[in-house]
Amino acid sequence: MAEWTIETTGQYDRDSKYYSKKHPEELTAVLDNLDTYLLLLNACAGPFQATAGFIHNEPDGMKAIDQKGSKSRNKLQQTRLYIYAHHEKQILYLLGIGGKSGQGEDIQRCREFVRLIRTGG
Amino acid sequence: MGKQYNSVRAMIKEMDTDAGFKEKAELEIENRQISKFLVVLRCTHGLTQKQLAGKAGCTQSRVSKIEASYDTEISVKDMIDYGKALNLKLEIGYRKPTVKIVDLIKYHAGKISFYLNQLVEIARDKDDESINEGVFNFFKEAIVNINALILKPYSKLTFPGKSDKNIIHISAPLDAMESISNGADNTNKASK
Repeated sequence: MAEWTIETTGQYDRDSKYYSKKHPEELTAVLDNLDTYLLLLNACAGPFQATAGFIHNEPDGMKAIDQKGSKSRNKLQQTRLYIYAHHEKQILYLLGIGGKSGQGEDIQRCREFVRLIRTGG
Repeated sequence: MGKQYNSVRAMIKEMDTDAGFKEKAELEIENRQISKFLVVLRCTHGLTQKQLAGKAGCTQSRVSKIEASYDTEISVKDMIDYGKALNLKLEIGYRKPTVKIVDLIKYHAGKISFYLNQLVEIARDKDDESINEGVFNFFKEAIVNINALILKPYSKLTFPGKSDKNIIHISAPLDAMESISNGADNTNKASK
């Protein structure tokens, strides 16, 4: 079985740079959960039902990975990493990162990326 | 689109940010390999934390705690409990960090060979047509899959002098299967 590849977007690159400086613990927690999600993708042959508390279903087949499960002593802010798993290409797209407050806008922006990905743009 | 990476750690290494963050993030991921393995194990068996807790005879919060633990916090008992709940036997192994990847591949190739021979022995001992057919079909699949397993990463390699001509082309699966089937038929006829 071929391994999945991660592909970043410009939006994700900008968001992750911002979070690494302003909210490093939140970003670390989210990336740690992303690592688990990637392991799950590689372990399962097709689309699967991941029953982990840090994964949320979003519109257009997107998923959001949050910061839950971190062992940090500080109370971490709600953080969402928006992803899209392209099962035919076996590419996991990282679309962007956001907080709880701008969730609606973040999802709309990420949906545009997903539409582009689906149409091969 | 953007850059591609084979792992989250490889992506963190390439991040345009300070070294301190990268080091901490990589360490965090490295220190939770066992708990992640347990999450994957549970999910691939299609169980929720609550369902696994029911089978292991503990609470859902205990499962949640184990799955959020660092490797140093997970006990052998925790791993045995997961195994029991999923009807799996726990196997523990050590490996020297100096062992090269090529040696690991050779080790696993040896293991594959060992288990394939075991399958052949089972098929011979049982003398059962359905088992024979099952083993035979498995070998047909394995021949194609193992070839694909090697060719996929090989095709990603770039090195001086490599051209399309150098890529190994394997027969279409159907052709390959046909010749294997013919070979097997001949062998069966010969043994009879």
